Amino acid sequence: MKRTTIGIIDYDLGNVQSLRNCFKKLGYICVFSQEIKILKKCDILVLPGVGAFPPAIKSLREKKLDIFIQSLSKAQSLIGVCLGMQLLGKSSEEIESNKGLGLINAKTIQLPKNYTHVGWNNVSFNSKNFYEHDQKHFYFNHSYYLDIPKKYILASSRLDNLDIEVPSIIKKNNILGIQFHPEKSQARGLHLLECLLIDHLE
Amino acid sequence: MIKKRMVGVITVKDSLAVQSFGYKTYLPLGKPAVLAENLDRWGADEILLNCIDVSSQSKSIDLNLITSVSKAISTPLIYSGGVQSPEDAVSVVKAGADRICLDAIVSTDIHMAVEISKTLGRQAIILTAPFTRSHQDHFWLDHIGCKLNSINDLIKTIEMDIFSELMLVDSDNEGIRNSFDMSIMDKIIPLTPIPLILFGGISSASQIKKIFNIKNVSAVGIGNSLSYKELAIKELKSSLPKEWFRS
Repeated sequence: MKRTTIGIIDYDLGNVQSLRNCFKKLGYICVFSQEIKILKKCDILVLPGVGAFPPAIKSLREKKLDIFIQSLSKAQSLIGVCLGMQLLGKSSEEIESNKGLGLINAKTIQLPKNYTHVGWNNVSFNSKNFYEHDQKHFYFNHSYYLDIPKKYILASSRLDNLDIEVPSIIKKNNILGIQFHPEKSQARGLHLLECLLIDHLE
Repeated sequence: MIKKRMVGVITVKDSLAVQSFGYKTYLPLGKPAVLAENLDRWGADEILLNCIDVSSQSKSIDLNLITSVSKAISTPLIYSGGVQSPEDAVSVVKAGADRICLDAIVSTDIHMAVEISKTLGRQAIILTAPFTRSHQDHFWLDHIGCKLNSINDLIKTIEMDIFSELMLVDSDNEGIRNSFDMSIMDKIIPLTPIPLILFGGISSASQIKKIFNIKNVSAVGIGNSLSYKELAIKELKSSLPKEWFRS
């Protein structure tokens, strides 16, 4: 049986070390590259992200990775993590107005009152497939979020002091977005990532 | 609901993890990656790699050290020490850190701090503010310029809105058990809603209970007292209200 290959897209921003560790622990072949010919051969592509939207989209454009991601075949899956999920949307208001990759009809907007969602928060799943992960805590670190139609939201997290819910996992066809950092959420994050990958690949 | 965090602090000097006593004397503890691996296994909510000699001695950032620590853990990693430019900040994140602390650069070149925040995003930036007490008043300590800045200067810097959290470090009491000077909170809390991380002289459950009862406090940093006892984090959490921490 062919082992699934995961390609982490290198666009010069983002902490990829932990994602690489995570995928390797789960038994996947994991490559890290900005070479389109290498990324094309991967079964799953991962768009990581620790950083701000403007330098991230600029770097993707400069490396022509934006066009590559926008023209992915349905045979390949795409997972955006944190900023990587926000890049999947149509636009962002972070620091300045920018177009995103436009793969999902959603805008990245600022959390109200300049709030920063940092730390361990619980995640509420809409799908019974993930009941064992429901209400468990995962590590978040963002001050903007993807404002997306409900039909794409697989899980969300409540910010009590703002009285709002932010999408924490989204799914559209072969695209998955995760706002928090499963790779930084210790054993529980690793297990959730494994389940998400299995569910997504099915 | 966002949970309170216990941040395991690893103080690093000359690439070795050390136990610090008021940043004056040090006891070597071993390899930072080994300590980080222990904290990861024992349930720290974040780990802070605090490289204290990088800024003060103009050393370059040890990216290999950050990578070695990052490889050993699956806990969020904060890096502190010598970040002076957006390029430094990106290198540190690429090496494996999730967030960075800015300290000296905020006093010496605030415009550079703004550029760093624009590059990584505000969520990834923590303002580290060491403080000291002199003549019955508190001051924001600039240990590079050897200056005492006022708390009002600190508040003005916070209001620039380029930081996600403020880490208040009690320089006078670092390395002394249960000694964090809580009177600083009367100066800070009324003036800013920024979430706070408190560090320096924090070790006992009763002390942490008082601290976490303050709404603005999101985390405490604990250094020395976690390094000698395998179950220290679990023991501390079990003697505090369960709902404060992640399950």
